[in-house]
Amino acid sequence: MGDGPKEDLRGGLEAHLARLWRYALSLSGARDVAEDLVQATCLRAIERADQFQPGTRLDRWLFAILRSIWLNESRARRVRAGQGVIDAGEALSVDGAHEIETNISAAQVLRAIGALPSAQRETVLLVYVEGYSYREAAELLGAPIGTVMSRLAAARATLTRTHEAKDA
Amino acid sequence: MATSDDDRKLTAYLDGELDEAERAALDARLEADPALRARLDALRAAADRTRAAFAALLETAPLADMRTRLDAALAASSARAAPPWRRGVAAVAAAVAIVAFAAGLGAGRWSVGSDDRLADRDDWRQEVVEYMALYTPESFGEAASPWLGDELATLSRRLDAPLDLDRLKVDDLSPRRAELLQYDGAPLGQIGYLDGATPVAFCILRDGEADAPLASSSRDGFAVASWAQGGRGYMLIGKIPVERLMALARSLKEKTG
Repeated sequence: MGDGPKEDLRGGLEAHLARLWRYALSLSGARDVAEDLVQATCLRAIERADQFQPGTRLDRWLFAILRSIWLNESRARRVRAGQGVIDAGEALSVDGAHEIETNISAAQVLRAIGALPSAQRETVLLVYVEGYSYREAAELLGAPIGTVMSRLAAARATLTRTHEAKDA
Repeated sequence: MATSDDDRKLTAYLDGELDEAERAALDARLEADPALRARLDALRAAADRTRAAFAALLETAPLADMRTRLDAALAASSARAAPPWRRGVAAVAAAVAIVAFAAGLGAGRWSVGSDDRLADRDDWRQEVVEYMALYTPESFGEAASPWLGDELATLSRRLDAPLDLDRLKVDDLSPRRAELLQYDGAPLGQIGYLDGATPVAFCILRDGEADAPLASSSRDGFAVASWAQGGRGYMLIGKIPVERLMALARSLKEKTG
């Protein structure tokens, strides 16, 4: 086996960098951590290049790797005492230099999404933004389909309530 | 606050995840009910706004930085034939990146723990709903478990709650068995009753939930009562009339609170 699979992987990784970063940001709430998480995902994907089945969806495979790295690292972090809690809403919306200046409503929606419980936020990203079906999301999240539906319904209801309150 | 059954159905409808029969039934209700149609429109808009906002976010991805780091990683992996201590600069850069990542993890820069619990508050109850469907009257045995006293003592200890037999007798019901399970690392107690021939479960999760008043909902044909107190989430569930379930729940809440 030559460098074939690796070259394919290079093209594939490049193509998915931005979406991986967006997923990582929705998980971690911090831009620099998201970048590092993407990098770790790329490294692991390269290491495991021969485990990827050609013809299957590369993006789904990469998302699963990213999630696995995130879970292991955040679990390890939970074990260490005294971690601060930041306002995920603030972190996910925008930080100064990256202000989506012309898109105030996008910033508001991102803030509302950042304020959702993390499991809902992740499920929303996977299903509404990345187009996972309930079944695919349930498989990635290791949760029953009913849970996926509950999270999405709760998120829709909260976002609707927030939006209506804003307009009131 | 548990999500209403209607919101859940409307969500599945909007996401194309209802089967034909369910969709037809909901279409009929939507035709007849303007309030329900309005709710559908409101919920639909939430996902549309979400997609638009995340599309805008995608534009701000730091692509140049990430491409550079990716190239370094790929270069490093091509040099993998050499033992680690003889890899080139690119490999070292990649290794440093991982160390930086780990260091970043320790720097306390993201939320963890507390907001996960908000999702768990409903998630664990949903899981109970899912597995309740598996129970039959025979699941709970011919008579109360002979070890019920010990089982309850274990639950009381792990849940840090007074769960003796007297407290758990409500109306004409008496516990048949008690089990200690876990959910996401937190102790979950399940006390099983039989109301006539119908299994009813009283579940308690010690997960530090914020207090919540007694609320009733219906899921998958089960009547559900839920509340939270003293850092524990509670749930009573069974396929019995909702008035009866709520009466039992009120008694249990009072006696175990």
